[in-house]
Amino acid sequence: MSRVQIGTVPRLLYVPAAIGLALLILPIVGLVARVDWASVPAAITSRAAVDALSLSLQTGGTATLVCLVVGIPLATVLSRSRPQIAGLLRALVTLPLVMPPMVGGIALLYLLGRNGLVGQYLELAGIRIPFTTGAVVIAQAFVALPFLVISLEGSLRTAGTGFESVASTLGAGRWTVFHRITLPLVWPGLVAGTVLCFARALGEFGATALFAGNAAGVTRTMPLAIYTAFNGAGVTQESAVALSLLLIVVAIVILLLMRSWRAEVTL
Amino acid sequence: MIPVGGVSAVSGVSAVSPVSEADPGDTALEARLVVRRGSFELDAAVRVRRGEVLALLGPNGSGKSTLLAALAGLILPQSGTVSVSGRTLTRVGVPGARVAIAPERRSVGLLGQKPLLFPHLTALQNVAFGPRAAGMPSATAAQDARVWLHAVGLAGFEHRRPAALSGGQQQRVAIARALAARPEVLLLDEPLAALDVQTAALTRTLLREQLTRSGTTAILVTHDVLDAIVLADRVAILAGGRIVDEGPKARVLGAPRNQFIAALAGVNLVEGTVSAEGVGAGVGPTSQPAGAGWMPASISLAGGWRLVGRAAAGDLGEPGAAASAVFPPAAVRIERANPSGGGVPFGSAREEPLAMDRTNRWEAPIRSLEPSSGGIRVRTCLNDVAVVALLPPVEVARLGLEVGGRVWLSVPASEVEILPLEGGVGGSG
Repeated sequence: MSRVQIGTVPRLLYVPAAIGLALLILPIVGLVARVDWASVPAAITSRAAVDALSLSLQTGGTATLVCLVVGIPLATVLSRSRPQIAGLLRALVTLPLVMPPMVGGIALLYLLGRNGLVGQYLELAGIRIPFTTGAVVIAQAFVALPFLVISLEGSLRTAGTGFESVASTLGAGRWTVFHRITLPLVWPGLVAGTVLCFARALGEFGATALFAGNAAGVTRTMPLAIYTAFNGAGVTQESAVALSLLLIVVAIVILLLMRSWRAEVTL
Repeated sequence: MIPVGGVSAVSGVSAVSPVSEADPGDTALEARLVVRRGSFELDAAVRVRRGEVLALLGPNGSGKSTLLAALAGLILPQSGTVSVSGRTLTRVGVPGARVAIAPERRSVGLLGQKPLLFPHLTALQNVAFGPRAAGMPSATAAQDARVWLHAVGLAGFEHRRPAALSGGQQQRVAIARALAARPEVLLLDEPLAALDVQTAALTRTLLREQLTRSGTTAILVTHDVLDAIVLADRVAILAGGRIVDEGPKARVLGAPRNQFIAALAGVNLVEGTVSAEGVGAGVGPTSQPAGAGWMPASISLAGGWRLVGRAAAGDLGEPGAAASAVFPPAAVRIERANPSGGGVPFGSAREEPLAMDRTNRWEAPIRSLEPSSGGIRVRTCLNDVAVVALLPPVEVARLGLEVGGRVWLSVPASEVEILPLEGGVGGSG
């Protein structure tokens, strides 16, 4: 309310804090300043833009689903393992997070490419993954999965095993405990992790570019469309700016949805 | 596989095997367990009859919660067995097929210090959780839960989330939830420890009513002797991972076998040996037996003095056998000077028994003064004999007592009970 609080933050910290904020915000201001508003409607309703956005939403959504299906169990196992095993698993899960996505793309090629470790056998079976829409989904899931797993694991650890123990002494089997107690308890963490995961999948560029290529309508997601437009191949830089703006708007909408949902939950 | 260490530990368990004279069909729970955690070892045997409440008293770190976790199946002991109503739930490291039934299939409930109500469910849904998990149709389970909430005085709170309930209300919902699951044995782990004094008193009464009404067999772990007195039929004392005494609560607390139990029960216990001198004529008038079966007795203490009291006939051993004198703090009187004159300092060359003027009297320095509900507890200590006196505050002020000061203590022989002192560790029967 209107209570006056006495500050506890050393005044000197405000300067680097302001610089940090500027570093995050000013580039976006610069981008928005550069927008030629007259050309925006045409740019974002162009065939190329609509195709790219729809491909991005589809692949990003699919990748997020894949991440949920494998990520929730992985996070659960991770959070309930013994410390040594959990430490090792966590390091493995975090690796794609700290690795440049470009390297991830190359790694995926050497696993699933025509001459790759697994890809050569898939090739024999007539299955070819690289440079398909499926490859986009795999690349996105590869880079986005750690976000979901790490954030969900944190929630699971915070929730602890106390409620689960009580539920089991009340006669509930492991599966009942999992879906009636464990998952509802970490629901906010799960939603936050899912949103992060989806946002990361939507913005994925490096791994996709190397593993899935840049074929319009097949693998050209929004980030690739923006890159293509920016390099002036076919379209102008104006549309690159407009598409970037569109992606920023999508991100803001996601954040707002999450905020309003969380406010509802804490009531 | 049976670890070698486990086998040797089991022989240790057999050494403290509990009494088994009763009809086995009467036994709700029987367990012998060895659990090691680092340097700590729990080695205990418990048996609870159907419908009985056993209180497990012990200080922090005595292994109480570990024992309950092993009974509930939340941890696996190094060796031992747990059976409920003749059904083996745990059998590890002992001859026979290995058994480790999961917690949800044991019918052993657990109610802890924290209510741990599921925060995303309403009070009603929390209470209905156990019956629902057992396959009860949801409408029946909801009706059942409503009855239980009513029983714990929370009718009208059905649709509240735990966050909208007070600490005491939450614990009452937790009691209803634990009982609604109809466990064969309910484990209560300090269920009142997190509540304030007034709420704890109300909840204690409620818990007793509900345990009695439902006829639930329970093991109550607590460090509060009041819980044991109000809720339990029998008491077992756990110290350092061993059950050091077990029996009816009046016997265990009324005739404590060691200092620790005496401190729990709030009485003084002085250890010595049965005196060969019998009881001198001087103590006759005040050591008059209070009833049939009592006889005068006394114990000798280090330093050559005696404490005189009474003992159950035939209870004491031969002269020289270990025995103890037990008396309540309120029976101890304090004076600044020896009223029998002289003020003979204790521990002098005099070998005369101290019961010279029909009372047990000695001089000791005051170690501490502590407020308590019944007055001020005056702790004294002489030659490792620690005795507490309970005095009204006004009396403490009148005498001008202060820490370090020396006072004369006396206790009427009629208030002193002489008991045989059994080995502190290992005896559980």
